[in-house]
Amino acid sequence: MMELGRHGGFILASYTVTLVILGGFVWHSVRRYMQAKRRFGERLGPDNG
Amino acid sequence: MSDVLYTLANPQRFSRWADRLLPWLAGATLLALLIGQYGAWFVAPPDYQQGETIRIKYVHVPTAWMALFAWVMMSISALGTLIFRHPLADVAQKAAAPIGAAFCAVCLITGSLWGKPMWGTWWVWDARLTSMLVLLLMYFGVMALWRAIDDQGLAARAVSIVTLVGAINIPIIKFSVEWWNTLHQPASVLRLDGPTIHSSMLWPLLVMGVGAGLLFATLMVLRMRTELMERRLRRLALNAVQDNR
Repeated sequence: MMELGRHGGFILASYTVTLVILGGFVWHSVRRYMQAKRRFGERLGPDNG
Repeated sequence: MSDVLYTLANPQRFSRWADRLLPWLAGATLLALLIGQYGAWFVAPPDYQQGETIRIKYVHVPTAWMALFAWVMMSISALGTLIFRHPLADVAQKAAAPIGAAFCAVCLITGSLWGKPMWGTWWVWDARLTSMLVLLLMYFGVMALWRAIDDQGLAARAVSIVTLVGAINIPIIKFSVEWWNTLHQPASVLRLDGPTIHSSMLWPLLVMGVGAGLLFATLMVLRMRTELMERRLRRLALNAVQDNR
């Protein structure tokens, strides 16, 4: 692993924030999609999505 | 192009198309982000002034591009809603707002985390930073407006007007570093006379830009598809209530 220097904490914090916000947003979007798809399947059958 | 728009104007056709496209879009996004990150960490050299802190730019800059692009996309959709009455335009607008807000928030926070070691401060009220903060607040405003109005058609028209008025902020953000004296540096990639950064730094940045664009597209299709299903479920629930009366 490369040496990040004295500002390594800021670099790691940036990537952590990016992963948390965008990763969390992707996770939330996929979960909502799966829930809607499941409810849709229950209501109309899996072929009517 | 108009044929594609006409074909996808049917929500059911769009849904079938979206289900087929989503795995490919997600795969392409992952591949582009992995290549971009490899370039950012193992190919691009440290900057002669910023040192390793330049690595932050490989997430900060692409998220800034996408934060602006999402509003442009919302503005085009707003025209689609108000003028052409395209049945998917308001669905696209509703889907794009939280995605744009997420990209904008990442851009502001990573910018602040870069600013502290490089400028010696987390934040300055210069034109670029302030106009980006205004963009984030506008995203929150649009998202709140969608929730505040029950009638989806009325909400779509209200959001469209707010979006088109708010579009004035996009050129302000882009040219703020040229129109005013700002601490934020001027553009180094999207310039008429070409990029001013070395190719070893440029290509990872551009690949990360492509990755961010693909992530935006994936999330758009995913959230539009979800919105269409939820709207149909709401309509069915409403019809069931009316039938039972």
